Amino acid sequence: MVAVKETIADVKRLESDKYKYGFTTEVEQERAPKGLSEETVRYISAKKDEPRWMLDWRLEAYKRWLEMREPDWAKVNYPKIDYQDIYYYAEPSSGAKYESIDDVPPEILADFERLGIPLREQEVLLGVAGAAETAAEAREKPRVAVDAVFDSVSVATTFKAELAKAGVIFMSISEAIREHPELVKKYLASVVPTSDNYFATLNCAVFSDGTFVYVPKGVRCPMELSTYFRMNAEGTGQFERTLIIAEEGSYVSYLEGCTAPMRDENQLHAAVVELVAMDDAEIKYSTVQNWWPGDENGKGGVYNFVTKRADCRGKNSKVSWTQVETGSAITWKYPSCILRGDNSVGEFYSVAVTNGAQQADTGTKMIHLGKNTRSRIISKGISAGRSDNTYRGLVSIHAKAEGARNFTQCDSLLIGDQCGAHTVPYIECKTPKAQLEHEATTTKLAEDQLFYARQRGLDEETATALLVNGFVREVLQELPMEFAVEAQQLLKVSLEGSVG
Amino acid sequence: MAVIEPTNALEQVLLPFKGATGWRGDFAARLKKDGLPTRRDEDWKWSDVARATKGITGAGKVQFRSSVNPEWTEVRRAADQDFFANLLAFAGVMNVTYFEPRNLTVLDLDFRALKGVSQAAATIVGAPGMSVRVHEHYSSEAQAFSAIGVDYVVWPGARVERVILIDEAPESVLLLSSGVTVHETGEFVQTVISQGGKLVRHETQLHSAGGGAKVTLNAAYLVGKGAHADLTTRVNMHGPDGKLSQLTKGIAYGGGHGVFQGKIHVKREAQKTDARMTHKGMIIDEKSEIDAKPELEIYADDVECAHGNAIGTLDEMALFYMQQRGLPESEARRLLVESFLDEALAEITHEQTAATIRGLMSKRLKDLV
Repeated sequence: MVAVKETIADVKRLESDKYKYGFTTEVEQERAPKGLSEETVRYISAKKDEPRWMLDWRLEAYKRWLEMREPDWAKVNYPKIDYQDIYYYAEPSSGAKYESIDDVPPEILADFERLGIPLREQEVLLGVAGAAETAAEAREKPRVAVDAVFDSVSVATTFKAELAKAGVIFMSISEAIREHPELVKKYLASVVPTSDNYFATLNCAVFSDGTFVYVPKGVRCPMELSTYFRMNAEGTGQFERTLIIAEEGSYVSYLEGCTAPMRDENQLHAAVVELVAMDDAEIKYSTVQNWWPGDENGKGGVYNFVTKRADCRGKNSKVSWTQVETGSAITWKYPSCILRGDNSVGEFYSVAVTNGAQQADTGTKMIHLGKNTRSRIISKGISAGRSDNTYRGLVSIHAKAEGARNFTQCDSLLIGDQCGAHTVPYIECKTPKAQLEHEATTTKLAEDQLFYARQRGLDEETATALLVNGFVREVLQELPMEFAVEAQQLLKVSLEGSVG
Repeated sequence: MAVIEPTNALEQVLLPFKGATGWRGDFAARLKKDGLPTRRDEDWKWSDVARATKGITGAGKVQFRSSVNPEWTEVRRAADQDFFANLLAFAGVMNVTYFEPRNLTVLDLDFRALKGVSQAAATIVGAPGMSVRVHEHYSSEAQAFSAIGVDYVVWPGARVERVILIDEAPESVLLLSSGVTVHETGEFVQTVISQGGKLVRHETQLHSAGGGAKVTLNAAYLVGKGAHADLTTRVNMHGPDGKLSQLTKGIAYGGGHGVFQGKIHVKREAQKTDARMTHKGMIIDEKSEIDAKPELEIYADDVECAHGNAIGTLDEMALFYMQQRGLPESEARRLLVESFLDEALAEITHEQTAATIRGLMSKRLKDLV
């Protein structure tokens, strides 16, 4: 009965703090002038101290963006975004670069600490943030290197030195542009082209910070890497850019977390993530997305318009996307794999929870180009309140992809009679030597299971949480340990108030 | 005054609408603005009508025969309805052929499209408590582009069984569409057999009132060289306790292209809906293609909805096994494909009809092996 006790305790804890990341931090901010123009692009580039080629690249993207139209095919509704009413850049006025952790304003450090992200390495080592743990216990915990992005600026990157010993480059993308221009030039926009889509092009023009990871040949990255994104400033959009390159035979696991304060207005988040996996390389990318979803009536919340794509360039390469999507007012996100190398593998595990007035349109694309490529899609959508949850995915097998295999499973769960669950899969097959399977179901929580759980003394909310956790287990078990626990809690918070 | 001869299919389609008023006029204006559907239209992603009808022009005609004499009725539509092929078919005729069989159990309809652009439409009503079986046969001359609409209304207690055999010429385009309304306790059973054409699309938009209404939508397609068969369904469940069972099976060989698009929309009121949709496609050789989009859009929480989709090729093990038993490879292949497709014919109750269709399919499959 330990598990039950824990579940009850979890739920109790959650009653007091429904969205516990909704606080704001008072930091003096310096912002780019409101609105988007060539000047804004120049301002951001200058702030980042970027070389000329980078500025030209941004300006080119900006020109293209002006000619593009905002996509409207997703099953989401939101008022038209005024792109001139957003700040495209915000940094703490103490500066955008910190030589050491001691230079970072204490308010920001405190902010991250409140979020449970310790940025001082010794604290991480001793588990100070974990309160009562002993040093010995803390040492046994797997360590995670963190890049912390606060609005438009990367404030700290931990364990850089230790990672450098292994040859792994882990830094903010602004630093990488200055320190490793050859790598950035070679790989930036090589997976998501500059003019890929409206939001990706916007990101190219105004991206402010993000993470750069380079794992050299044959290296197994010694620790989990992670980036924590925090939106704090009012009226500001966040446009981060992440680029991960895994050379031949290397392995890296990367985690991403995001939160934002509760605000009445809508905030725009348009990120681009590019992954490149060479021969025999493997990248595992996990996301727990918990941007502020807006209040019950749909006021405020983050618009999460993200382009994530992986290129399995090498033979036997593998990319695995795992996502837990609980936040954001609107989610528009399709982490994809281009399976170019022979025998490459793409995986997509997703849990998307919508409650209140949230709308999510999310899924994946698996493009099979190489021989014997394999992909697996497991998507679990949970809708509650008045929300809408859509799975949209593409599996495309090209004529040369002999021996390709795909398995897709999309399950939807409806809690309450005011929400919607939708499945929109596209399947294209151009070879007789492939095998594709797709299954989808939509159901409500089984009454008999709920009844059984309640017979055992659980209240309705706890019983629901238990069943939902069972429903999404296949996905959660793909998450790294630390994240899995957090994700489970998150699911419970997100569904709170949806029963009865 | 000189009459300007139409130079393409769109102009030819628009010609009879000159001076049209009401919904026909509105529809013509919409068509003139948007043109014929292309791949850029989400609903026509894999079936490009504008491209397929290139070069087809001149006024055509649909020859129509039926086993009983029809009546006539007028249609009322809204030009903004999201059902292009059906609007096109019904806009092209002033009066619609109408059947309401009462003392009859079988109705045979035969449509043959002659060269050029043409439209035809019919409405069939299953009167309350009646049971009727309708056989529809479609064929054409080469270079025909026809839009044919056959709508059904199934009243309470009625049972309508519909068998559609599409035998279009390889160089012709057929947009065959059906708007179907099934009232409470009504039953509608449809089986489509399509061999494709340059582009053949069979589209069903069905509205089920629920309340014990039962719907079965089955289809089999076998597309060979240069052929394109598109089977599209959109089912709207409006009331509680509706049932839907849907199975589409098909094979593509010799460069054929099969398309399946299915959508089940369950309204908030349609609690206790039980809906199942399955598509299975088999690609026999290189250059052939099968695309599928099985969609669910669900707003009611107490439902059981599922869809499954599988695309693969002939089971090599089974082929090997059959050869071991002394069957020549070609025979083994044909048998495997036939038995694969046969499941989709299971709901044809009239044995002789089923046997005729099996015979036709079997003959067609002989080319393949």
